[in-house]
Amino acid sequence: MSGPTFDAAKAQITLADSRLVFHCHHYNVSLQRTLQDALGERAVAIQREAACETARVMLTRLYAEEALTDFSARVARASQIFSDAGFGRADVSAFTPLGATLTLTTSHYAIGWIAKFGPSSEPVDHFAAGYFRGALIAAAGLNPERVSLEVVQDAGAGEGMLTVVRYEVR
Amino acid sequence: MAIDEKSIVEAVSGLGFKGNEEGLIPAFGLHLTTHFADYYNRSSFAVARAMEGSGLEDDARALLVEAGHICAFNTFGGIMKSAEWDAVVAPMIKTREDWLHGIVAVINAFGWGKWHIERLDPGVELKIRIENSYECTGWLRDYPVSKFARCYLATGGVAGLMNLMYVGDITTRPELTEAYYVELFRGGDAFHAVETSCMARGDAHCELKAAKS
Repeated sequence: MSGPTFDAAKAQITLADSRLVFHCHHYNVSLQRTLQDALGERAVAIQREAACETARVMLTRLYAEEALTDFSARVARASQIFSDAGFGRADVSAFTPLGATLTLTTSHYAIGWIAKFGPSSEPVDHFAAGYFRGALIAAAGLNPERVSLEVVQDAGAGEGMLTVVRYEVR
Repeated sequence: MAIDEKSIVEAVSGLGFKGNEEGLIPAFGLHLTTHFADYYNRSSFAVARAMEGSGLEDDARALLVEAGHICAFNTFGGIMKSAEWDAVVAPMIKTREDWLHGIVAVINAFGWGKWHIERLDPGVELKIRIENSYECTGWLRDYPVSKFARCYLATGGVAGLMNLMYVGDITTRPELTEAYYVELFRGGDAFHAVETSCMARGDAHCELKAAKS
């Protein structure tokens, strides 16, 4: 399996031709709050959609590069990339091509948000919710319009230790 | 100059940051991520473009640059107080200005594009040139040449470098508290940065200048 590669001449890190950049929880959650302060609820949809498209495009290329064809192997690879990148630990055992439930046992965004701002009144891990929607779409080869998500529980919103997101395939 | 940028980049890029058993990357007193440039760009540019459509381009820029200030304060500040800094960069430091050359070398291992100090007038002005900025390459892939500069994170970052060094004093390893942030970035002495050239506007590279306003 391929990992991120660093090109010192360009000062660029890539994984499956997608650029990766190091950032910390202070920036990640501050930028998120900035976006939401500016556009309110619309910013939530923008962030989830951005995460979904980013994951879908990168994973589609990665699955081709690594000749990964099995649905479960594809989802497991997406989960491994998520954890390796520092976003938390995801249980993807309830993913099927017809629908899925994501459970995060740790969430970078939830931990970062609570550390910086305290518990939120709303869900905060829009990145994870969108990323795994993109992973489901890429792993099953679905039309993005068929997949919707619902955040059932979010650790950043003081709703317990877990973040749970349900994906419906229409 | 005593700073060996190539050695620093090799050392930092070779640290192999990777999520632990919890899927987290604790480093420099922070939680790091190897994030996706496309995510930042799509989110930030969507908000910027929405606000520009309402004539709020200056407000959009100020909001996104402020996130860059917070990044600089915590990330650059955290790095310059870290054990990794002490091990890799500190032995090369001979002058106060080497702190800035050292942190720019570290930044060049972060995937943000190639930063180069064009001019440093201590306590007065810092000019940084960036090749291959992730913000601009993302903009130019997805949008036409822009009327506005687009390196929001970098703009906040360049101002932050000067505030950490010459408004505060990161060399004394201060606590990076909210009160210290306000002192460095909101006082009358704070440095502010402007992007004088930007690839997203069609320039050959990005150039940012931080000075007191």
